[in-house]
Amino acid sequence: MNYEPVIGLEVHAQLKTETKAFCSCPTRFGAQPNTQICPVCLGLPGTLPVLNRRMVEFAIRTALAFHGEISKDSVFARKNYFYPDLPKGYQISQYDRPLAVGGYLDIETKVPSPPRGEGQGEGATRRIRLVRIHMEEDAGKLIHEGIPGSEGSSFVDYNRAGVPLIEIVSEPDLRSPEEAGSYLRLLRSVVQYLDVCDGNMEEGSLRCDANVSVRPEGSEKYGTKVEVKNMNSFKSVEAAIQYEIDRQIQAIAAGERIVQETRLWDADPQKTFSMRSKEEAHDYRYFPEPDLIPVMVDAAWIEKVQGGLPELPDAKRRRFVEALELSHYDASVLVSSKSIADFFEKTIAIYNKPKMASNWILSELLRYLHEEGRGIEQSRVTPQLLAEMLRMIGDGALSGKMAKEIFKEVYQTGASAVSIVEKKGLKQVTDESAIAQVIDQVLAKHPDKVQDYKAGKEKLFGFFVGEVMKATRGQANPQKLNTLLKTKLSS
Amino acid sequence: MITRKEIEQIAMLARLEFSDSEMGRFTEQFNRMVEFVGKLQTVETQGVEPTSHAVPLKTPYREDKTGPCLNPQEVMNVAPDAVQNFFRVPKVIE
Ligand SMILES: [Zn+2]
Repeated sequence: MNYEPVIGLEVHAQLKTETKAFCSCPTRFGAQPNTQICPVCLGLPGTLPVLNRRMVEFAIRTALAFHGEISKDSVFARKNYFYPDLPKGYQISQYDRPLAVGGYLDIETKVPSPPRGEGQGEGATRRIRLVRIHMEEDAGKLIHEGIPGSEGSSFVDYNRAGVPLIEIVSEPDLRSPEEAGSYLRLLRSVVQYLDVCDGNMEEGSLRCDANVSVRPEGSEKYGTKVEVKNMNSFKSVEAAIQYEIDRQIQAIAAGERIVQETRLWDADPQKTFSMRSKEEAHDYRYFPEPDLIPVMVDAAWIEKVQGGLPELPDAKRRRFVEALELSHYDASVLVSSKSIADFFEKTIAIYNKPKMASNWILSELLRYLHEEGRGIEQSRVTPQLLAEMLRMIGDGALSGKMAKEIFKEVYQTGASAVSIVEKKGLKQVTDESAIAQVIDQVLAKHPDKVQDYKAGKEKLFGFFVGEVMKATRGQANPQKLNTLLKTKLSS
Repeated sequence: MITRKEIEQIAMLARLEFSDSEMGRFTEQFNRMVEFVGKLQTVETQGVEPTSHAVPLKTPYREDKTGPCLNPQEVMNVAPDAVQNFFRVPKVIE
């Protein structure tokens, strides 16, 4: 029997605010342990939380970008459980009245799973619906080893306790690990465009749990779902989901029943493990947080945030294809990350040749960066430097072939193409008399071949071009060389 | 009807330990409380907006500006157990 995977994702995104959700402690990542704590986020008696306006604004911004419906009065609730990373014994979250409900993301998918596919091939998309987006606070960080005297102990750093999060919950609309990957990549790129989250999965500012089940193909009923946690990269999300799908199908084939449980992904040996969960662990006894009143969001605020939304990846890609005539594929890669799109747009703002800029960024710059494992933010090549080099190519001062060599050096040193060309004496020869002189020398050296050419062996044209290029170390402007050579040979 | 088993479960969730006689007394008291509050069930609430707070207030917001934090050394001095500016707790990983 064939099985269809059914996947839903719960994504936690850390909001890029200066301060925590309910107190004025800073949220800076990587600070010394317990240096960003105060009586409020430690949950000391007698303290009261006060809501960070920017947290709500960032949450509204995200919900609007995903077409969610913002609640005019959402409510914070206490989620109660005991764990050392939770100083108060409860997490302030939202439960039955979240900030936003509904919404969707249109993901690109090469193989739309029928019958849900909308279109096929390049640019085909599938709509993944959202259940809700709600606000909550993060917990502290637990460390289990590496500290002297750690036998039988765990250590707690509360710097992260109270940092604002949003949780974005999808409907179980995803049908493969690849789709889960594209959903997550698109989601990350949107929160980066919105500038509400830096989207760093390794540092944990973006975290993803997956609900995975399988069902016989064609069946409408969902199978028993398993929650998979502890993935800290796109790759591990896809691998963990694939592992879980295979595990469930094998279990069903062997006549076993799938148990509803939480499993942890272990990157080494690439398996999920059952987390021994006590039944009462899920009894969170939610109730409305009495220390906070409902979050009132009026139409004026929503309108203001809506008006301030930046151009999002979808719209940007469409503009790149329609107005700048880039290919769908190139445009998709450029908009996949805000920093790449920004780099591209800054480059064409200086020298407006979009196709050329896109080609150089996609085929040269990203390749070098990838080899070094760098992001485009850490590139020594700036849009200014790239634009300058493109202008030299456009003006005929640099051939495409020479430019590749020069670019390598621009990339390595961060020096300008102009200065490298000057230093190397590589300037392309565009001076017609200089090229003509070399042509004359070449033709004089091969009178027999000139004869043959004139007698009809037109293939020899390439030979003459090659000889002139050799003599000029590849620096002759190709268009000028062609025109001049043709004139000379026909005289 | 609240059973003794439920009282045991609630005590466990709250990490509280009670003697046998206390369990019996609480079971009886819980039932009296639930019965009293149960009078509310007779009120017609069809079409009434749920209330999460009794007083209508405007949400007080805080601007996103950093303020002072506690000195970690001072905090650790009064913490039940601490090592190198970390709070120390019994191992929680399985
Ligand atoms: Zn604090």
